Amino acid sequence: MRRVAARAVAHACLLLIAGAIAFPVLWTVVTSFKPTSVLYDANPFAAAPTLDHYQSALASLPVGRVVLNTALVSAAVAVGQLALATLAAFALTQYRFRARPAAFAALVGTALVPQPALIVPHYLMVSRLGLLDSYAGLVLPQLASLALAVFLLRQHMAAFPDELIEAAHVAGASNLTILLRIMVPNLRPVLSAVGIVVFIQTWNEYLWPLLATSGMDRATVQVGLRVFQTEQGQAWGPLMAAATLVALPLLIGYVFMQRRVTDAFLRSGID
Amino acid sequence: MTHTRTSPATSAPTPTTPPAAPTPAASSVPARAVRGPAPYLVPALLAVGLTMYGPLLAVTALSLFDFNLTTQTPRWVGADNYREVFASPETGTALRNTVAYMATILPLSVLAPGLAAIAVWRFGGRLTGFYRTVFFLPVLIPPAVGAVMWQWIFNPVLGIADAPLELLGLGPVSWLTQPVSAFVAVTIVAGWKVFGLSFILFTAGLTAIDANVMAAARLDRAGEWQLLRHIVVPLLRPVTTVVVFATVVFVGPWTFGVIDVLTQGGPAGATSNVYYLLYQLGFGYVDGGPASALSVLITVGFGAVVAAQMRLSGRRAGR
Repeated sequence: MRRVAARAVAHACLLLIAGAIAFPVLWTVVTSFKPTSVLYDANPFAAAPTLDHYQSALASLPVGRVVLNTALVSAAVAVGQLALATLAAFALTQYRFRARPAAFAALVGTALVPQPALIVPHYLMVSRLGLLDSYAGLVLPQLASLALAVFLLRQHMAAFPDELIEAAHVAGASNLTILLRIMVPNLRPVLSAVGIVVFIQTWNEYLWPLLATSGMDRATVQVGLRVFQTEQGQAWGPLMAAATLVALPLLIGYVFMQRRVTDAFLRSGID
Repeated sequence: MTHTRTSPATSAPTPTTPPAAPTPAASSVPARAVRGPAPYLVPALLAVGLTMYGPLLAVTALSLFDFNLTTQTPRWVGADNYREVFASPETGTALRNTVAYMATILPLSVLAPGLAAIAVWRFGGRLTGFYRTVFFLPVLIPPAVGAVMWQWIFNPVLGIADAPLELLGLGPVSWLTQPVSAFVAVTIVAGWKVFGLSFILFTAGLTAIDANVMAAARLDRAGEWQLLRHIVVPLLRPVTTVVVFATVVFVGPWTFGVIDVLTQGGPAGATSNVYYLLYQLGFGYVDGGPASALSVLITVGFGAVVAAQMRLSGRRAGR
């Protein structure tokens, strides 16, 4: 009996939290469909829904462009970090050399440096290289936060069964072949987990894209939405439509890959 | 650099011998490993050198100069930038706010998601998937986009956040223009954003708890509450460290986007944090020197907090 009561209380609390978390998103979507005349009415069904706000949002916010930019940059950072960290983890686990602890410390030590504190030198570097407003300029400074990737991949590679590696050596495989043909395919779960985590982390990055881009050409979703907001002022209807449009793609992706995404975060937490 | 492959079988050539534990025992260099680790290691070291440690040295050097990030030639000023940063009241406010954000967000990023994760784990049942999905949503909505959504809710006079207050007979609250309520608003949005991340991390910790331990405790007639206090909470300690760490790392950058949308650090710096101040110094006032000095101070402070945390958790694990 007490257990039933506890269960009921727990669900009541959890549903309350779920409601509080989902509300801003739902309210944004609801508002985006409300005609301007009833925008401030708390009743979501005060008038027939309209697509007007979407039309005016799409007229000045290149949604496809900013979503594509964000996706490209996030994917490039994720793939770049994976490539660098996989190679480094291979060196750190398969070779013994005097500088190994120092190399490991240098790579994992990046966790001690807060990325936003480097905006001044990053800006100087990227602008001197003429890379402002370019994908390369967006990606480069974000490549170095390798701590998580190196840490997890090293752990998994160290646990990799030596028999498999030896067998390949005996068969005459080179180290690179062993890495690419034997280790990487077997490490796919952890690679995809790290990739997903880094992708989402980069998707959330706001400060650097804000500095490294101007205008919509290379803007990420957040920067694009901010530019749109500055231009449109307090036009809440179009703004809510724009927010819905830029938030949607990743949420749709999440619906389809739900298990893999949460598993990725689960994995990066325990390992 | 000397190098040899650490593989057990190079030291135990007969294939029938069971492979020795992969201890770093010295072994002969097989012909194919002659090239060494350099080609694998150099790209990553180059990347962190060029985009992390190099810039860190550069910003440290720049903090001793006066410059404006574009045309002006840097002029040596010694420790003046640091003096300026320390003397500015904005720095004190931003630093206090950063600590205050950390303190107010921790309940939302550690305690609440921890309890929620335990509740879902014990009682979730068929709704487990639903809770996980909803709680995780804000992690996928970038901070500035989430802040725009909340801005509409906090909108004075017309925003929905006032509806419950009006029912209580309280007038409209101008959320984002009063120092305290603006700070609370930023905290709510940042907490909304990190809750799901912590929830997932705690869930990971809970699924790792051995079912046998729980079953054994239950055989000993441990009550639900005792189980929680004496088994679940102690076993969650390592994850809690990870969650606190994640909070420290993410709250700064994620709060930045929220501040930029909701308040731009106002009113009168009440919602600014050190990153926002850095952004204003460097890219609002284009005052490179003090911005660089502040960067150095942030890095030292952040590194100290993280290192202290690692030490603390290391000591706890050692016990």
